[in-house]
Amino acid sequence: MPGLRRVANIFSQDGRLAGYQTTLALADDPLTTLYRQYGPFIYARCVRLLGDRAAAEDATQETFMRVQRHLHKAPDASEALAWVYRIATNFCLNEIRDRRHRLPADPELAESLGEDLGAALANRDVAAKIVRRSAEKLRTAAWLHYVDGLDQGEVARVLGISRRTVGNRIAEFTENARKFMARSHA
Amino acid sequence: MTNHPHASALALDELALGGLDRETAAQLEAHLASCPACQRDQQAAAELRDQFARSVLPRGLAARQPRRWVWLALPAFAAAMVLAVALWPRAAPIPELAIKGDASWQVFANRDGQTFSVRDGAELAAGDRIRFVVLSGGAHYVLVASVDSTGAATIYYPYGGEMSAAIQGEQVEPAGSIALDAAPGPERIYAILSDQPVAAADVVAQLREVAAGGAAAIRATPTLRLAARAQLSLVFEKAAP
Repeated sequence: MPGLRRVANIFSQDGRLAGYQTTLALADDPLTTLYRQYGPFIYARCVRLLGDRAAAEDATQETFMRVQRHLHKAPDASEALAWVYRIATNFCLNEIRDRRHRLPADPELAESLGEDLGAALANRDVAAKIVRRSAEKLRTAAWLHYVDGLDQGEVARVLGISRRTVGNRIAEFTENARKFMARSHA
Repeated sequence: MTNHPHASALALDELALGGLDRETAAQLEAHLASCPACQRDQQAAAELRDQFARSVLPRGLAARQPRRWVWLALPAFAAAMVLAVALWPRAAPIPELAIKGDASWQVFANRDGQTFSVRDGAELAAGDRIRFVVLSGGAHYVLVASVDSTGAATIYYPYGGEMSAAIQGEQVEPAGSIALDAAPGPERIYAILSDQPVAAADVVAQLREVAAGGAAAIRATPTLRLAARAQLSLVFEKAAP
């Protein structure tokens, strides 16, 4: 079609009829397109990770600033959500790591662990508390698996690593959690 | 498999985006129907997304407006934009659409900064930009597609998706617009509102059947053979450039 093409790829599910000026800007701005389409999902995810709406709003903005820096690496539409998920998860867990230095001991966590590690990790709230205290290299995979409920294939997809590596990290996390549980009971 | 028999956050989000294949979406829908915990997760996430779209997104977009727009905009163009912003309907035009409860839609076009409502049979031109607002009428999913006289079938919403998109709230207002190409003749757009996701491939197959009948069939086929709660359709004519 000479000279003209469809630009329907600027549609998104959560967008609003905000005005034509925005529309024209969107047509030329891939970042804004991603922000409109995935921003609501990333915000909801950050609320879940951080447990605080104001912090989640900041985290969403930070996530998309990182998206902007790596826009040249953006995958196609089928993997875009997983890609932005990874960036948001890493950012939020780093935030949690920074807060962790200020976290006091959690006696309720020790009580809620019980004797069965499998049962403890099946409880998402308990799993989240354990993951927040885990080693940095294991934290993202453990969060995605135990808190977000992703299977190991999905975790591998989000993190861009092999399924085997995911399995190793989950196993190491589980072993560390077992030791943590033993120390808590002691 | 995870340690808990629930849908993953990623899967729920991909379902909401219409990004799952038909079989996976059907499996997930079946699980959701019988899992109160996942229903709560889905509802909580939808409420947060809605809150973001209402309260945070507009501020984020305003902050994100690129400065180059200010410097590159020619005075006449800027004037046209002011006019367009004034004329483009900002508030949800529910009263004009239909009696509340009915599935319905309104299609708008913008040409050279002028916005107008598109009626069935309207004449549009290459370069015109169209947008639409759909009232769900209680349906849970929507898919918008188009067929034109060249036989091109396009999924407009969710753009390039494989399945209908889940509807959050009572209406859908896709951001952005469709710039019409230069293919002359009739183009018909359909909104398929359903209680279960509809596969885009099924819709495209039907659209191709319609297109095989030529321009006359496009003008005369307002509904497709699909299981849907409601189908909305509108045809417009594009003049040769």
